[in-house]
Amino acid sequence: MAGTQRTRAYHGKSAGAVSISEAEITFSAANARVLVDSLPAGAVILDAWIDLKVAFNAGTSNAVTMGWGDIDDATDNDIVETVDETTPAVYPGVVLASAPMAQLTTARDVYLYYKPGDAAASTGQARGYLVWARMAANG
Amino acid sequence: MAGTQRTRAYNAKAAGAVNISEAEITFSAAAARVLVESLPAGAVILRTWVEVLTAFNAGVSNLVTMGSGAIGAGTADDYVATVTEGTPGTYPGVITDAAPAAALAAATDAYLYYTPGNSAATTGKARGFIVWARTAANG
Repeated sequence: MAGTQRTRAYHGKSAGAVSISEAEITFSAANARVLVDSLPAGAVILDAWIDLKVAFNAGTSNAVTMGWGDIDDATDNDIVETVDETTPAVYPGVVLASAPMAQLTTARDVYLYYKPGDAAASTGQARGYLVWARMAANG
Repeated sequence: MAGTQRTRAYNAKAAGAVNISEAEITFSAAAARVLVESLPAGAVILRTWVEVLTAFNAGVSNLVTMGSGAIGAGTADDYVATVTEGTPGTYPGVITDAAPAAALAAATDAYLYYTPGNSAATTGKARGFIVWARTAANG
């Protein structure tokens, strides 16, 4: 695993409280993922973004995303899908004020993913942030 | 009343803490409302949205909104005004990151409303969400 879970939700067990979770991922030779947080069924995701701290230099198609599913899963970009991996900056997720995300119908482990491209990486560091809340009925 | 208050704010009494409140409303023969939360004076609303889980089928003008006031009040759509009731999905409110709302000048009961249309409804379920915080002086 190339990275670490950094900030865990303060109110992860408390319905009606808003929390933030954070993880960091760094370059690696193979596909990798780092757990951001385990969200319960019924949770709502309020915001998400990736802060690319150091450019990833693994050539074409090296990808940083946030979502769920196995490494290599097509759902790994459910929450943050558009990142320019070669340019340090902040990249918003698909969850915006203008497009709220549906309540989770099942529990989801949310990960930050890295997939190297067509060259060996020697640099790359990114952090993913997830603002979310547990709801009363948990689905 | 056709619905229920689901998630109550975890830190409703704590100034400076961000909360989320939730209520659910279902189809009914008469106009109805369900309390989402009683907001104190001075509260700031950060985001609102409605998620239609099951289409409402009461014909033309069957309405789901979120706001304040009596059933039928002109303020019933102050927070969420535009919902396609016949299409399940998430519908953002008028308060967004780009259009913040003023702090509440007076305590306000926020409701999720349903107004049937020109035919009898047999289906319909929606949930309303308010992300908000109490501020120090309460107005």
